[in-house]
Amino acid sequence: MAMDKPADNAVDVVLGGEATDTVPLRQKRSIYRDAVRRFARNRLAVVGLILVLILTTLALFADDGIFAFFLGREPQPLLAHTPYDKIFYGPAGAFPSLDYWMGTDLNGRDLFSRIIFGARISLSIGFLAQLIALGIGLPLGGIAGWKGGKIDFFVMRLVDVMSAMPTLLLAFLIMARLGAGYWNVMLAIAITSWLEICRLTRAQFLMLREKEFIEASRSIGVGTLRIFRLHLLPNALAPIIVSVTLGIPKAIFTEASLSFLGVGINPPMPSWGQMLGRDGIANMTFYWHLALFPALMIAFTMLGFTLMGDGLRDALDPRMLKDK
Amino acid sequence: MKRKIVGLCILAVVLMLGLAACAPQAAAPAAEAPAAQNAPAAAAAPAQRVVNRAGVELPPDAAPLDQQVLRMATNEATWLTWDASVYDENVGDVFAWSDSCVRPDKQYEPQPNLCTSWEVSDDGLQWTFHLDKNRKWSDGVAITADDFVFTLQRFARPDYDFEWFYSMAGIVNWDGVVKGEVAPEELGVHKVDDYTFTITTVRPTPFLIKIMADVWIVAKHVVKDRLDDGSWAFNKDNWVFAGPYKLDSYDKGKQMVFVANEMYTGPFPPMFDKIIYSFIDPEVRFSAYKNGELDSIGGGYTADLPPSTMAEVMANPDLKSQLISWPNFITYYLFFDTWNPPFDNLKVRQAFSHAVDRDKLIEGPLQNQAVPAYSMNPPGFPGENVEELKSVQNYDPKLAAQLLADAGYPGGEGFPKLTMYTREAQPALVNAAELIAAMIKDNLGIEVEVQNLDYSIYMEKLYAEKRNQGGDFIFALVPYEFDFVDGSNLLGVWGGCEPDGADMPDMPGRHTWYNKEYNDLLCKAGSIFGDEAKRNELYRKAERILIGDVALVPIYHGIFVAMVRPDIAGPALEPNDKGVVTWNRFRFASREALIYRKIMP
Repeated sequence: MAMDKPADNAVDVVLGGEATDTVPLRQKRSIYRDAVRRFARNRLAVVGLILVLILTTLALFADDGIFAFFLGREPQPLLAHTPYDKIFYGPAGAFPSLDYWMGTDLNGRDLFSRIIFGARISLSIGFLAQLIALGIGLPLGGIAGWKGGKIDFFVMRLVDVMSAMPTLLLAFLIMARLGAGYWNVMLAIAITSWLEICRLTRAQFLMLREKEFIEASRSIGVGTLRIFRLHLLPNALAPIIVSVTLGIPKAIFTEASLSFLGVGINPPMPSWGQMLGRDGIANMTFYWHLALFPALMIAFTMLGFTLMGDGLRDALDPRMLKDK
Repeated sequence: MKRKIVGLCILAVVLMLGLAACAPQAAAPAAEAPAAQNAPAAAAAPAQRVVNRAGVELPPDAAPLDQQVLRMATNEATWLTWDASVYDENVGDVFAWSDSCVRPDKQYEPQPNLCTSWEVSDDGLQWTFHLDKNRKWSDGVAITADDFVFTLQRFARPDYDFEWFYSMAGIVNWDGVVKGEVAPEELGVHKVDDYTFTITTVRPTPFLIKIMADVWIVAKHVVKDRLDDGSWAFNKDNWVFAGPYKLDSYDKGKQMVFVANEMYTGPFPPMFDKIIYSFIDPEVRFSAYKNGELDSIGGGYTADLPPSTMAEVMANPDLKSQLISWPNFITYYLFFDTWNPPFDNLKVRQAFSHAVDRDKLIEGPLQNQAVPAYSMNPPGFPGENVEELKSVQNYDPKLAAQLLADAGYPGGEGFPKLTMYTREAQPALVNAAELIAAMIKDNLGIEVEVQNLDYSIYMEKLYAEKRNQGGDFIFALVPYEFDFVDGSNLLGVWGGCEPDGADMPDMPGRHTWYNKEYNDLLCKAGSIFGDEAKRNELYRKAERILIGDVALVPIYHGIFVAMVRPDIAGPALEPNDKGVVTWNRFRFASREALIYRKIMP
């Protein structure tokens, strides 16, 4: 349904052609404001949000790269203690202590710093991969839903075929072909993640297409793109936002799995999955900290995003919007 | 009051029972036998000797027969026999399925085995081998010269991953047979009579006898097809064995069980009655060993004994006493594609050679596992020149930076980002590789990423780089372990006698590096009979070229470590004439046949 957009906070009541009174309207309401309020009331969702904010801060400010970029100098570690590849910063294999908060790995590199840089890698891959997936899935799903017919048929068959493959296996095969590396991982994850967004978008557009206000817009000659932008997208957005948000932890976990298996991020760039798979598992029986901390970080990240995503889904649930 | 006292007494009893039950586990496997504990019979009277199913009588201190089971762990591979593959085959290929012409003793000198004697013609080009007339396959068929001829013809096929090794022998028509241009019968290996055969070489090859230690024979009457890819062994009807053991069962994914071969009449009668090789992941082998489920782990470059395990072992005197470590003839080195930029520039390679601090590696991730290497031949190897070559590629970061600048990449500017490939690196090597990458970044300003590759993919890329004279495989880390103890072996990785009219891809050696003088020296040294001193002098000269031209940056020589339970004993565990106890694999020493389980005092 069209969004109510009261032009003013008050409206002139017109009776018989003459303004008789001014009646104040209720405060502006939109689904987003409602959603924010519902979200804030959901405690678990707020916990998730806090976790995500902490991780994002860690990722953004691991080093002062943002400032350094503008100031034109080398980035210095900020929240992290050292650059992630500083060997023999401490003794090899040191256990957690006040000097080395999470201990050191077998090359004497500070584990805490590597974990924080790992946050940057994981989160950036998670966000960007989903953005790319959005960039693929949204247009494809939108066109399929809007046009219908043959285009819809072919797009859906493509989605069906790709859905038949287990995502991790497909990502693994893509990485085996492309070779390990940061951008390849992102591409592999994006290629396996756009399916759900595509389906969702298509479903939404199919439903919205039939609405009277869309028909009305088309009949007065509004261009397709304008309809997409002003009417379809804003109404379809809610489930897509939820899907993208819930897709981020999936992307992070896929990256961790790929790196764990050795076809993800290459050292010395740290990724939690890679740290777990290379050093952690092999040396777990003695150097327990090498396995514990990357595993905990993966777990907390997944938890945070999943809680937040669930909270978003509950907050944006269209059934709740009926009572307006 | 009374109730309280009774209650306290019951509590005390329960607590004491609980403490007794949870007595701390012995950190090391106490001398528990794998099967039920059998108290040895009264030590005073000489007990009846234990005899296994092959009729071999064990020493007086042997444990009862049901305990003569050796339990080991291994990775599962695709093939079963040596003639199918040498890089992807299961254990048992050498101590069960097959046997060899000669066997190295503890001093690595070839001793008679299937071949009882041999002689060389005056011109050094023809070898005649005489076979033991009493040796039989496990189905009763005699082992004859036919098997040897067939085996070598079989090794000369293009899809065989160890063909390059046997080509070093320089047998007449070898390359032609491999390429399919010459009929296999024309190969320079001929039967004289049932127990005599000859090998004719293109040039005199003094170390041929050492290569014969790795000619693991194939039963002609079973395999029949020279070009079979190795699948013949998956058919149980073809299970015929020449070694001290027989494969009894192969449970895919679980284990292989071998039993003593009663038809074996060779010099290494099997002592253990049964050998069980379980397919257990390397990460959990140490736990299994501590639990008493395995009799030995380690002994190769597997991931059995990662740094964490070594730390635990060194800190525990009981476990430490079960550790065997010995210097192995193996060199880990960095190599380059010297036929294409940027590594075609000698100064660049020299810069790299001075940028690696080997001592730091040995102190850090390679603790207990390595000695620094500055040359291809390790100390004690024939033709080695360790002392003189030590200073050629010494650690000198300033010089390294200077050389890189001279080459046109000051501070690493303009140098492409590198990927260092490793071949299924075990945990210690994983850390070492990252440390080397970090040193290169610190000292030269070049970004290096480390990528670990599967064994077969790595080797495929390596061979492709040479075949195509280029590619993306331009910088990597790899070990090479000796195959036989001779000056030609390790240096042979880099060159040898040049075939007539050969293009670069056909040149000897497996790397993309070429030097004519080096090849001439190696070829000459490889053909001198009866003057080992002269040969070694030539090998030293060749190695000077190799190291000076920075074909490689040697990093370390490995020290192999293994853990062996204290109740395993036998001739295999006696020290060699250098006083070193080794736990070499069967290919180098008849290990599995020369051990048994003894009763612990």
